[in-house]
Amino acid sequence: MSVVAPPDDFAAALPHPARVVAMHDEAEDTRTFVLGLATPVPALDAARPGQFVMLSLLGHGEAAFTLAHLPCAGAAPGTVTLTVRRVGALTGAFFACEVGASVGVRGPFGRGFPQDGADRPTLYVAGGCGLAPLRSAIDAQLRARAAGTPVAILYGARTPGSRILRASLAGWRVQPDVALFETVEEAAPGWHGRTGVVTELVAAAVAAVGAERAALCGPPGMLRSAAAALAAAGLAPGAIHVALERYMKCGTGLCGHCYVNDRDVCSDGPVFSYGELLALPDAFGPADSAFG
Amino acid sequence: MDACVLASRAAVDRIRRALALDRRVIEPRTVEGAPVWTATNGEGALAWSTAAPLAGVKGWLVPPREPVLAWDDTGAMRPVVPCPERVAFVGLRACDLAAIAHLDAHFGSDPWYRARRAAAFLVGLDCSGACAGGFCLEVDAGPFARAPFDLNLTALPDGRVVVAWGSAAGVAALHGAGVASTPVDDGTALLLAELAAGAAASFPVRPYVARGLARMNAAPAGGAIADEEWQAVGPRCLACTGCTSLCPTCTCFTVVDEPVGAGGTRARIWDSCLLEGFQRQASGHHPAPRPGDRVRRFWYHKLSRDFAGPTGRLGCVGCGRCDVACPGTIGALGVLAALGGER
Ligand SMILES: Cc1cc2nc3c(=O)[nH]c(=O)nc-3n(C[C@H](O)[C@H](O)[C@H](O)COP(=O)(O)OP(=O)(O)OC[C@H]3O[C@@H](n4cnc5c(N)ncnc54)[C@H](O)[C@@H]3O)c2cc1C
Ligand code: SF4
Ligand code: SF4
Ligand code: FES
Repeated sequence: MSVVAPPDDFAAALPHPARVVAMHDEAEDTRTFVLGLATPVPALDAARPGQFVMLSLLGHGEAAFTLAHLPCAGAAPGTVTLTVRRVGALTGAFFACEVGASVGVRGPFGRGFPQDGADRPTLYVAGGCGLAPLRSAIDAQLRARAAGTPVAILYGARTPGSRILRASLAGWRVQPDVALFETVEEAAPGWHGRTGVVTELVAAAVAAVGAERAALCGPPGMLRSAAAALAAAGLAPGAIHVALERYMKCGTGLCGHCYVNDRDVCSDGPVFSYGELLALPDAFGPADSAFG
Repeated sequence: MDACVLASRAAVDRIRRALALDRRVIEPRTVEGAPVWTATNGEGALAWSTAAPLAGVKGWLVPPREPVLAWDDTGAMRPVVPCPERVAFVGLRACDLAAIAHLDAHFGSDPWYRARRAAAFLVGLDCSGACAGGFCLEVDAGPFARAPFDLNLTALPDGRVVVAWGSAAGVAALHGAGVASTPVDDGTALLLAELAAGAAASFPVRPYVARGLARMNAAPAGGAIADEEWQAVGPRCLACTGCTSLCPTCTCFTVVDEPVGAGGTRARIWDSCLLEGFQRQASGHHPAPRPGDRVRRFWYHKLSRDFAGPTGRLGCVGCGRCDVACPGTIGALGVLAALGGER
């Protein structure tokens, strides 16, 4: 501890400057932003599905967002794609940005989904905005898989109007060997699909593709019940991967905000295997909590 | 042992004054009846028997507000590089040093911490007996110091002082002061062992501490203690953050942007996991919605072996500051008493 940090270490902690180069609305309150980095950041081009960045808006702070599209899933190098739901101060300021606006990006941070296994039958389970973090994982597997590897996608939204990534959903629906299951909690006029919660479809989706592994993202209550349903359907806890979310202030294991038992979601996660989570009682919040 | 013997306490004062030539020497002094870390310039004699100040030295190493980034009206960003004053803390107790070992492990990768830590010279002072409310013995953090220190002092009853060194800077400071010393002979080593045993024997017997720690560390992950127990204890926390501010091993911070005109500063600010909003998410999910959940999370962090760092020690160093700070009764000993069936 006697070595003073060289000035480079401070500069390396700064956000990478970027600009908003494109954006499009996904649903009410949800928008996809494509950012262009001012200078190449090899680590961001090499980022893996499930990893995240801290988006910086000067004067408004920083918040964590999963990389929604990546070069390994077909995105252009030098870009950062985030699908963001407007919920508060920073996301509100982000939505007020126009194309050309300056932002900053730190990262990539955390441990993403496992890199191997593109040739294994896989089930993706997403609830609400949880589809955004799974998008790059799905697209990366569809690019890397051996022909004929079956993939199932199970997506549950609150209402038909809150469905995000409709272009991706439409694209996946017509891919060979992809089974797409959609459901909404509250139907609306014009909705002809299923109504109900995703958990009810887990067993059918596993059976449909003979899933050997699964990746999950969504609200904690859904994660808890869907992971349990997958285990009950015969998947090994080590083959079920869950992206957790916590309030984050640093992304680098220092600020303490994101800890779950003795793990930091930012650096030990955000993706954990269900086997790991079974040893972390706080992973999904208190079981009897009305907030879960 | 990397140590030598000084003939008198006056030799220590020579070392203090030599340190003061190129650093600010900061020592516990009694101010308005209470010990406070005070810039002394090494003047006067060391206050050997002054107790550990309630506010420790954490604020020098991890300031309550640490600016990390500044931007100007063009939106250009630059890191705020700290230029910490060179300081020497003289009289750090074993618990405080154990806490600094904890900070070193936690913030070891952080350039802001490393800059501040590198500017600090640490002189420990072994406790001859238990302080009021301290339980360092039960958590293996005292009363005699282990690393990290540059120099560490043990006062012998005959007026001599054993000084140990833990770094090249410590050796240099000892040489630079030009004090005469003799090696630690067998008799002195025996005396040191007796002093350590006597200091350990001076602690009150509190069987509930071991019982509470054992329950806290039964598998799985603190889950052996029933939820109702924590929910019963929880309302005793007023979320005043007194304990987390004073605790020498608490490290949590939040980050705030402070715009000034068209520019501004981004700063880390001390935070507390006992505040309701610490983990509340924008989605509405709250991992610890009830006071009992937050109190459990906090004490689990301090008292579970799951958080033992590279030193193998718990996140709590037994300094007892939280018991003094708590307007309720759930400082460390208060909680261990509740968990250990004492009340
Ligand atoms: C690893 C990770 C990945 C993520 N990925 C994504 C992603 O891909 N897309 C996405 O949209 N989000 C994602 N998130 C969530 C995202 O980080 C949050 O939505 C974001 O931090 C919200 O910031 P904000 O400043 O807009 O909201 P805030 O202003 O911080 O808070 C919003 C909510 O909290 C309430 N609130 C705020 N302060 C208070 C208060 N003092 N008292 C009571 N209520 C209050 C507000 O009313 C509002 O409902 C991710 C989070 C993590 C940890
Ligand atoms: S807790 Fe132990 S090391 Fe700390 S001041 Fe008290 S007796 Fe000394
Ligand atoms: S928890 Fe209390 S006794 Fe333990 S180190 Fe912190 S302030 Fe000291
Ligand atoms: S976000 Fe700060 S420790 Fe994880």
